[in-house]
Amino acid sequence: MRYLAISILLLLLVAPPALAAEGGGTMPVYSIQVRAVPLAELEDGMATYRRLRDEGYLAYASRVEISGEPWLRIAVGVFRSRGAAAEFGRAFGAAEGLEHFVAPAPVRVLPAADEREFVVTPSALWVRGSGGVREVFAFDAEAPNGSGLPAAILPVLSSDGRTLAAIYNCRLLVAAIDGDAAVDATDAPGGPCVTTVSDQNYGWRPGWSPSGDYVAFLDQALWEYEIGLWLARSDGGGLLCLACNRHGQSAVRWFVWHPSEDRVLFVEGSSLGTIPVGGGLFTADVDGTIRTIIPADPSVGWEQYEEIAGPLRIEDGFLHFRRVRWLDDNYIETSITEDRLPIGAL
Amino acid sequence: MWRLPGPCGLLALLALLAVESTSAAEGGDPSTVYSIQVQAVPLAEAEDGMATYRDLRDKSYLAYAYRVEINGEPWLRIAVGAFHSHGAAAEFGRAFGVAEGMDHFVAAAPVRVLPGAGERDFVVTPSALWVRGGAGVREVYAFDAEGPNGAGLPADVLPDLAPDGRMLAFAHGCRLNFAPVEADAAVITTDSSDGPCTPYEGELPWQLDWSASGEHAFFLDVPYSEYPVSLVMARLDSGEVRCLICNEGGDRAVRWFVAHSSEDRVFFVGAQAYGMAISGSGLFSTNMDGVVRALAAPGEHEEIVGPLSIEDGYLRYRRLRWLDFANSWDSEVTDERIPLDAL
Repeated sequence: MRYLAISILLLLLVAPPALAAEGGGTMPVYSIQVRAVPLAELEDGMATYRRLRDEGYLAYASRVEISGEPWLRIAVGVFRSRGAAAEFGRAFGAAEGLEHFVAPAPVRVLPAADEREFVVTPSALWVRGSGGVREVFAFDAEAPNGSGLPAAILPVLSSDGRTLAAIYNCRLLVAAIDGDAAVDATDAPGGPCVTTVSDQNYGWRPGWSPSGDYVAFLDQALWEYEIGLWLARSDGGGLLCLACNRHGQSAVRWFVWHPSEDRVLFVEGSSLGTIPVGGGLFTADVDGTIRTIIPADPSVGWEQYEEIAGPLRIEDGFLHFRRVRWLDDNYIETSITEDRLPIGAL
Repeated sequence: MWRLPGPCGLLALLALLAVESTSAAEGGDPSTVYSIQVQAVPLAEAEDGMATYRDLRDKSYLAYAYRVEINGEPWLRIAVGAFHSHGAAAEFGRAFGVAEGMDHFVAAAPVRVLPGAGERDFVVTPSALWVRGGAGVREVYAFDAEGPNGAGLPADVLPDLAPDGRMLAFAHGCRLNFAPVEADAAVITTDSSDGPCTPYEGELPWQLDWSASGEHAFFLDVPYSEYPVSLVMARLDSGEVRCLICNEGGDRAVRWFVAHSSEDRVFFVGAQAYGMAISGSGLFSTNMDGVVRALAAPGEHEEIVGPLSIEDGYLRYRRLRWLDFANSWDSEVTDERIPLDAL
């Protein structure tokens, strides 16, 4: 039964809005690779990385498996075509005297405001613009990171392109386009440890309010754990739990910002995952006041019981969601229907 | 259906052509490109600036020079590189500054980048056409090696990429040129008697169309409204250039055309070369031997007009009707189509 519920949940999660939440381009980009050493010679490679970074180059180190052996690669620069990377390599070679070649880069570039970009490498988060490049957060200054980065940090850009949210090492980071360093928004008393990865993790990402003033996020994504819904300001302050285990074993599954920006709409249910795939539909003001929009009450019996499921989506003046009902008293067969409510009524 | 309240046929024709020229002039990726500007000198000191340009070009940098007006005075700017963001250009500038010891800043570039096959780009600067890929950059055609060109380049050379990205066509020096993505130099395919000169403002938009395979290119020989205009075919594998509809010295003109995906024929609108009222007189088909067949004829006070397009299994064109031929020159235009199976 548990696996049936998990399967239903995963089925519900596979939906187009998950792509919309990507929050940045995933176009192929290229760097010049300047060094590769066996991981046993890590310190030698990291010395090259640190030297180039300290000289103001957008350098990074990444660990890869080559013929079953771990290696460390050092690369520099991020460009949208092989030719542009080769142009950079021409100047870099003349400047630094290092041999190099063009290679696909495990890097994500997110075009931001004021003709600047956030660049997420396996080593660090950078901001670059016409004035040059600036490292604003180092993922791990001493050890090379695996190829899971940059995707593993779930980088999401605010709609105004001025702030990036990302999750790393239990923290929700916010990096402003003009800031010197990313801020840990969860660094406050009672702040959560935010995790993103599991075998059956949710496809959730941080969600920016329409103006980019606030970011909402879940504290983890593990099935059958309590999952809280949190809020922080774009400057990294004002951490607030909007819905944290309100009824014991409560889990927030999906959320979306109301266009008015003063509240978050969310689905919350039981984290005990034998039957529930969703829960009730609620709204939380930015001060933490919660109202119920559609309750989920198991006491009404299986014939009447229904849950709200996501993903939640606001389009054409409506909040779009799905309703799940069970067709037998063993809670095996389900009926899933699309539904919507006018956003003005919420 | 819409009406063209034109005082004369030529204006109506130019209005019709404008529909097509807007998109045809795009010629590739329209996104802004950035370079680093390394020098600017008054044009009277052009030789100094051109020496810098040649020095950097000879060092295998994608350098270019172009003339601009600043406060009414002509200046020469020298710039290097072509990147898709301010930040990428600045990264290049960081290394370039160390290597060459030249001051520089990031600036928007009068450059067009057209992504070609094999992860290579065609880069059209005001000075030259380059191909660049993972192995570096390669100049394949210099527009004018000695003198700085105006800001009309690269748009003036009408760069047009083949569907498979393996070839770029461009017009320069009243010739049509083709640059293969693998070659060291562009191939000059036409001589000055049958290649397009750069169109003047208000003249007909010059048109080139590739066959689906990219093996053939079709083009008009001149872009002038009241000249006899011929339809020319170039076979890029053999280098053969042949006139399919030869109007040179006559009184006929090809106005619009489109190649059939079967690559064995081209549809075109023929017209009178001279006269103020005539836009297009009929719809025709020609095979690769120049054998012509009539497809649709205009009625009384009617003309067949383009642009021609092939979409959803139909050849699409337009029919223009003169409503008041004697006085106001008012006209109306309707969209029409013929199933390709019937052609």
